[in-house]
Amino acid sequence: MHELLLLGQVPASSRVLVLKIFAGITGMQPQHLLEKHLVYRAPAPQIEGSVRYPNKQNPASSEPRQEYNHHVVVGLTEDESGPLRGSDSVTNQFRDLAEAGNKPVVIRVASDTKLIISQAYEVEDVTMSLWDKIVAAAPAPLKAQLTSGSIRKRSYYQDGHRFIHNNITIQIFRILKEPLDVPDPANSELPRFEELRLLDDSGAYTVQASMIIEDRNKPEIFDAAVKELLEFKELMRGCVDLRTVDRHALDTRAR
Amino acid sequence: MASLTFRPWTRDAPEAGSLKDVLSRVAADRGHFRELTEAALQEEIAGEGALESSDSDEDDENDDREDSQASAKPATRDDLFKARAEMLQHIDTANNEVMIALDFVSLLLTKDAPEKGKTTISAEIKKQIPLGSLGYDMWQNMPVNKAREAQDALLATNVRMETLQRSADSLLVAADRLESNVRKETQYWDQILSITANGWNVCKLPGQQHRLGVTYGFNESAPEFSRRGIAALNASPDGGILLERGIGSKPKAMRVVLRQGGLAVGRSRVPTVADESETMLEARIRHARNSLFDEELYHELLRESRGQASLGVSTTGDGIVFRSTSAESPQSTEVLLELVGLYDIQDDLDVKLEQDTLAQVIALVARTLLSQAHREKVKKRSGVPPPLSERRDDRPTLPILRPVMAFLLQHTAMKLVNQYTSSIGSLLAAAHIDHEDQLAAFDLSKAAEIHGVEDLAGILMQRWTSESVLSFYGTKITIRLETTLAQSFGTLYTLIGTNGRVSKFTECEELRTSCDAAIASELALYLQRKAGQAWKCNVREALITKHDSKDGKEDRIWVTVDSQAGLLALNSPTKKISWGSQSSSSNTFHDAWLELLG
Repeated sequence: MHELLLLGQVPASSRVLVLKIFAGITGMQPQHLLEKHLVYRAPAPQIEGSVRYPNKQNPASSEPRQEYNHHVVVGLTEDESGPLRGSDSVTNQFRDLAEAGNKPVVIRVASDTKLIISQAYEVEDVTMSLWDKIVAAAPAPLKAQLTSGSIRKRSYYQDGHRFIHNNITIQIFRILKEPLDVPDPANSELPRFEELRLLDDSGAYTVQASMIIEDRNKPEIFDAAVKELLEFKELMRGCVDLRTVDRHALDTRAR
Repeated sequence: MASLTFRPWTRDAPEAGSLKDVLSRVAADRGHFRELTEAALQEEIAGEGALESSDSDEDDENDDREDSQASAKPATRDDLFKARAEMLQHIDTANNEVMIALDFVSLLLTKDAPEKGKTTISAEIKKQIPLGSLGYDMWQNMPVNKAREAQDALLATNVRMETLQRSADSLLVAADRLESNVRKETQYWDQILSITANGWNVCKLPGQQHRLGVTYGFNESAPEFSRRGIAALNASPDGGILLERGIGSKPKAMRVVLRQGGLAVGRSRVPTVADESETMLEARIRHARNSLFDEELYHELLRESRGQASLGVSTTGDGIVFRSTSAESPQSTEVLLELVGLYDIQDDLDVKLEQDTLAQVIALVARTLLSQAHREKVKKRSGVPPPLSERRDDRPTLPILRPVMAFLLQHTAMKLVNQYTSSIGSLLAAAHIDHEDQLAAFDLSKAAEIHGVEDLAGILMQRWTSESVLSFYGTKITIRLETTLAQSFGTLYTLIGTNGRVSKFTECEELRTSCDAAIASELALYLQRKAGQAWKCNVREALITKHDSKDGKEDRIWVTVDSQAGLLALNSPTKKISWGSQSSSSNTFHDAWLELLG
């Protein structure tokens, strides 16, 4: 599946106004989303129609496969003055490099797989870290990827709101980093919300308008999706400037 | 040869030149009359020989004076330039004035002495003003005429007063208009505020500036209805608010009519329309909203009925019709859902019919289900949308008619089963058989858990079940009813006999016959148990036989139960004892049995 994106920025001072505008346009209340992203390195999955389908003629080719940054996204809930709690929505996300060329929107291959955390252990079980639970719950190929030498696990948090407008998902969020004095953040307990630090000190928010389409090669679907996104961009003209970004800024290849 | 010398002809001395030429020559020669004085010139003439040196002297003197001037005042250079510029400006102005005066005089002259005037007049004036058009006369000074002057002064005062009066009047008119505008605006905004205070949403009309409108529609309706849900608020000339023309003027409402055998036995209530002039603005808006809601409800019902034609729903010219049982019988009730204009049906509103409550309930349930469908729509579109694919989802039909039909079918089936049970009960009572029955009723065990409309709607969507139990002589027969419109039309009857045998029927008649047979079998079994080992029971035919060794014949006694005819009978080949509607024996069942035996 492919994801079509447009991105924009909103300063911290106008965030509330933009939230109200979105609420008016979409006719729904904002849904609060707090997520923890755990990033690990693995080769690209073999997705049909992907930009990089592995070489079938020469499967034993010795060139090292390009590794990408995959995200495991864990939904979190915020307790009143307590540590964050993980909910049971865990998704394994893969995003490929965006298509080159002068495109009206950012187009990239996307793959989201929902992981079912087994009910055998509560997510608040302190003896097992979140990462361990995820690894335990992952299906076999994913488990191999997660445990094979992916020692460099990074993590960050994403705090924001989500709206749905016809087929477009609108997210307005900002990135937060782990608290400072945690040695291995990906493996340790979840901190409290107040302890998280902003990545961008100005407190600006990112707006992302995205759509997922099933088949990139069918022009009816693709053109309809691009048209809808561009119409939304036109609708938001004057309020939020939505645009494509340089594909290398969204590069998920691991270096 | 004598040499010839040609001498040029003597010519007249060149003209002295007009003053203009002289002046220009002097200016070119000496600079513009800067240091030219009579004394200096005379000096020059005296010192002719030293003309050049005096020139240079003059220049030197000029320079000296310049320098002295320069040294006398510091930064004089800029001042000098400024002074020079100022002087030039003054000269320019003076030149201008002089030329204008010249033009004036020449224009004047052109009347009386054209040639003289023409030579001195400038070209532009000649172009713009025809020559000879300005003349002059000499007048004597008029003597002072006091009276006339006083009159003039009076006239002037009067004229001034008149104009002042007129401006005062126009100011007063403006003030009046302003006051009335303010009054109208205050009234208008007061009314708008009262509308918003009552919860209506007042907003800007799309596409029309300077006009407000009130929204009374529902966001989650089908597009053709949500578009109609906004009405403009126009200001009337006296400052009040008028709703846009046509809104709320022909209100409609949905009405449910129950009919049995062609006659109406129940009608749901429609809102009454008060006298138009008394209706407040808000009442009209409310009427408009109710009418829109009912119209949408009717529209959705129509859409649904088209898909449910196989279940016996039909649309006639009036509205949507369906029967409460699958069979045509005089018992069956016909339900008609129609959209009526409130003004068309005012006459027959007073008549109260027996099943009005049921009709009103049906109408309420339909409206509740529509609101629930709206809520479901919001929930559905608040979730992350699925990836775009070629499948185009048509607008799903909202389940409004189906739950109502299911409810009615269950209700009718329950009535039938209860009728049957009570008839059997009376038959058994006539035969003095102790029995107990539990009538079927709606299973309302979850009623305590209802916290809101959503729970209620959830219950409406589920399948309906009820149970009826008939027990006598220690045996129990259970009849279960279940209605769901998911699979098939009609109620599913399940008969559970004592031996656990389960049979399912879709028609009440089949249930009846089967149940009759089951009851007869049970009675036969009971008799057999009472009678003893010698008797054998054929359960299926409710027959007990005893092989009589004496005659070699067998005695047969069988039980018949016929609820249709209302008959319970104990038969032997020779005799028949029956209880029921036709003939009733006063024996108990037991006594009858003994009678037949002996």
